[in-house]
Parts: sequence; structure tokens; C-alpha cells
Amino acid sequence: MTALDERAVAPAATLYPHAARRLRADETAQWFAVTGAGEVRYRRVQIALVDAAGEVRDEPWIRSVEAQLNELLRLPPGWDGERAQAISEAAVKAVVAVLGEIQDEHELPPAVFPLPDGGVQAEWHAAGNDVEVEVEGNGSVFLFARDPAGNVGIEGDVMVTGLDTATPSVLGEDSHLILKQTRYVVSNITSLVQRALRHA
Amino acid sequence: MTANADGRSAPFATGERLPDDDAVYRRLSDTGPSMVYIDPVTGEQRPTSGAFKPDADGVSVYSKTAMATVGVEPADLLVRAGNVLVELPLAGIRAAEQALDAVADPWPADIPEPDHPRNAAHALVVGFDGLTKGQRKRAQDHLVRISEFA
Repeated sequence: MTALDERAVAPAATLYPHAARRLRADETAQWFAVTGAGEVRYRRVQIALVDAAGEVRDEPWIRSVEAQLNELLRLPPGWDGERAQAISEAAVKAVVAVLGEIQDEHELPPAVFPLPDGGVQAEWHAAGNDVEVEVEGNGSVFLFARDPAGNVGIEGDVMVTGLDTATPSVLGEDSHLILKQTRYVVSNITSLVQRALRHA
Repeated sequence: MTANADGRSAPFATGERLPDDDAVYRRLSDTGPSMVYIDPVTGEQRPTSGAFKPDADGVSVYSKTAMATVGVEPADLLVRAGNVLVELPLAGIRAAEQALDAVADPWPADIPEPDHPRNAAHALVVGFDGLTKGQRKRAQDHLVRISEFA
């Protein structure tokens, strides 16, 4: 569905030069890879976004998400003062796969928080609009969005496949539809924030 | 005060419903890792709903009434630099459409500093069993909305 081509990425572009190239199912056709393993305190992730022409694109949201995930990957078990698990590689891969379908170059990066089961949660909130991408420690993804009136507009599972590879991807029409709706809401939130910043 | 199975006393027995006029504190890790989102439009701070994601038992909290009984201060709940507390009224918890509740859970096992006196006031927000993911997320969202930074 989304794996339209496989080609080595230039070694300078990623820590993982043998990662496969994938194209998104939609017209923007971007690729990203995420890897990271080993002991908790040494774990790091590097995200590469490659466009349809094979060029690596450096977009602000990637650097933001990458930095946040690398902070979270260093959290030891018990980071919440109780029984929290270290952030799982599956959760990191799944959230990057999903964000790769939501984010465009100029959109507001999400804030990314750890979850006690080893998962992560990416969120955007502005003026009562809420979008949350909850990824459990096993990599399962749930989308949730609410408008200022309290109506839940988006709610559902998103399937991500390839969590044991460097190129996880979103699977299924229902998943893509939910992400398309989410992208629209995130775009609106970005516009709200940009307007607020202009008036500040 | 009641005594539990291993003889340690606590203001409420394990599983006992906390009083309606009680409130509970939830400890958030603020710096490293932050669990607080700052709205870029309004500047308001709010805990991430992930801070209320239940584990198998529920959401870990501390009863304000029980803390007063055993002489534990809110500051005693902070275990590392940057921790912050949010306070949730029991009435608000019980107003959730998902039928959430809060029950005493003194002296929980498998946690750091298990003998600290604050653990006599430990409690759980419960009622997540059997909820769909969507219902559970709405319940977490409800807890975010009724919480206030202490």
C-alpha cells in the first residue's frame, strides 16, 4: 500500500543507511525512518524525511519531535516515581509513522509526553481544540480530537505496520481517513496559533 | 484508623470509598519529563491526559483527608525535583459520565520508598475497567478538566 519503492538513503542522511525508502500513499509522497535500540540511557532516534525525488527534507517539526523523543527515550523505568516502564521502541516508531501522515512543513509540532506503559502521547491544544495521538507501549495507536464545545470529532484506532523495521507505515483506509481528518484539525490549530502570535 | 493485613495502619481501609467531601492529589512529573502542556494561544497550563492513563489498578493518587490524618503535607508527595501536584475533588471525579470513583489503597507494594508515611494516604481513581478506548480517553479528559494545580 505505501511501500512503493525501496532504495538506500544517502549515508549522510540517516544513522541507518540501509533503511528502505517508502512513499506515502497520498500525493505528498514523503518517507521517514526511525530506529533506536539498546540500553535506555544510550537510546536515540533519528528521523529522516525523504521526498518523492529522494531528497532529504529538514522540516522544523521533525527536529522538534526528534528532540522530544530522544528526551523520552532516556527516561529510566520508574520515571513517574512509581512503576512506569521505559519508553518502548515500538511506541516511538508508531508515533513517527502517524506524525509523518499528519504533519506538513509549516504545521505546529506536537508536544510529546511519556505514558507509564512505555507509550507516548503527541498532543496539540489551542483555545479549546484538542488533538491527542495516544501510542501504547506495544505500538497500538488511538486518535482523539475534541472541539471547544466538547464534541468529540475524531476517535478511533490507527493501524501501524512494520514496527519491527526502520520504516513503519500506516495501514488501512480507515486509518488513513482518520489521519486525514486529524491533519485538518491540526492545520486549524496551527492557524489559530499563528493568528494569536501575530496579534501578540 | 484501620489496620491492613500486615498490621500497618491507615485512615481508610483498602477498597474503602473516599468521602464525598475529600479531594485527591495526583503527582505529575513536570521537569524531566514534563507532563504539563502550555496552550500557545491562551498560555494556560494543563496536565496532559496521559498523566491520568490508568494502569491495571487505576490512577494512583493521595487522599487529602487521609494525609491530614497522618500528618503528611503536599510537599511530602514530591519525590523528585520538578514534580508538581494537581488536586481533584471527589465530587468532580464522581461526576464523570464513566462512573469513576476513588478508593483507598494504603501501603501499595512495588513502589519506591514503600514505607514512607505518605503511602498511608495512597488511593486509586477507579472505574476504567470495561471502558472502550474512547470512553477511557473521555474519562481521562474529564480528569484533566477538573484538576487544578496545587
